[in-house]
Amino acid sequence: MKEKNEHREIRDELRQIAPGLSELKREDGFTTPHNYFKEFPDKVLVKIATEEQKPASVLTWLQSLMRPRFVVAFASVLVLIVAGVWYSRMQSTSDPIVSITQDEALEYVLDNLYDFTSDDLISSGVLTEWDATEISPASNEEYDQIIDEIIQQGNGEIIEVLF
Amino acid sequence: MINNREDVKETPDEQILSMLKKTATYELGFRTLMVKYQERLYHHIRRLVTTHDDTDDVLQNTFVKVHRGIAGFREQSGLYTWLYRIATNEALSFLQLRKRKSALSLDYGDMAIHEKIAGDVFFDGDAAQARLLTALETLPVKQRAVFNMRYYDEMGYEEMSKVTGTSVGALKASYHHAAKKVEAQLKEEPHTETPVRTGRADGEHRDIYEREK
Repeated sequence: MKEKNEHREIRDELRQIAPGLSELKREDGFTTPHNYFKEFPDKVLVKIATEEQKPASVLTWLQSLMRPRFVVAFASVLVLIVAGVWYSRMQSTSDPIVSITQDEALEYVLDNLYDFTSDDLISSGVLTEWDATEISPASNEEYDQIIDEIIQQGNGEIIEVLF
Repeated sequence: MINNREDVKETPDEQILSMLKKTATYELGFRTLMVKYQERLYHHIRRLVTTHDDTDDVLQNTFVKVHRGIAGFREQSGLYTWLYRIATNEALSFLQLRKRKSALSLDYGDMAIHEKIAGDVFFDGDAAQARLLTALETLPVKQRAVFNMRYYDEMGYEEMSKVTGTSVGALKASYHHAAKKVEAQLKEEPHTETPVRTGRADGEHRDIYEREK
């Protein structure tokens, strides 16, 4: 009853807005091959079976990951991967010399003065062969003096080379 | 064995859904669903994509998607509304793809509707029906879908709203505008004085732009 009323309303509506159109019969005139609808369900079931036998493509796999129940887990894993890569790159690119201040470097040199050989001083350009001969073997006071001179020259790069 | 018996077409949706929920009865349920709705969905798709071969492809894809999605069907809308929505989306996607392809090459998709109908052995309509289909082709595709739902399938605005995700007011405006435009097209003379001849499955041909007596 409700459906009949609705159909009547639809036809009345059309009669008001397009009276010519409302006079036409409501069939599209399209036909199908013989037995098309009889055979159609089998055709679809074969298609489904064939598609389900195919190995899933990468795209299908990615689409399956985007299902709501997997989205949170997938997003968590993605965040962890990105964080891991970022941390790893930070580790590999960070230079310990660059990351310490000049005062810290100075403090280290002073605390470990005897770890530096005259060869280190020569290769860093702080001393010439001659200087090294002159001061070697040097006393603690002489080494302190040399380091003080380096510091007074304000040449941080030289201190970095010593490391 | 399921066939197209009328009693199968009368199977209630609840019974079909119940069969689809059990593995043992799934295939029977899916066959029943197809038998019940295939013809209505076929005509809905055919009015949008026009040719039988394209309709066959789109209809198959529709039911493949129904098979994939039926487990997630929440029954918030009616079964037919849900099927109709999938079929509409499939047909619109197909048309978009065809439009992109036809931008690259001249093929069958570029043919005017009356040319397609003239060469279509699976069109058995009269001159008025052919003219109506030609007039409908002038509408934007989504508006054509709206017109078809209301005119051919006599669907209520509420149900159309569920299918399209568009408000009732917007659908009403779209349908009224479409109906007036189509009527204006029908009042115009046919594009050609030369009658277009249709091919028929039985091998006969006849004029489709002949004046109705």
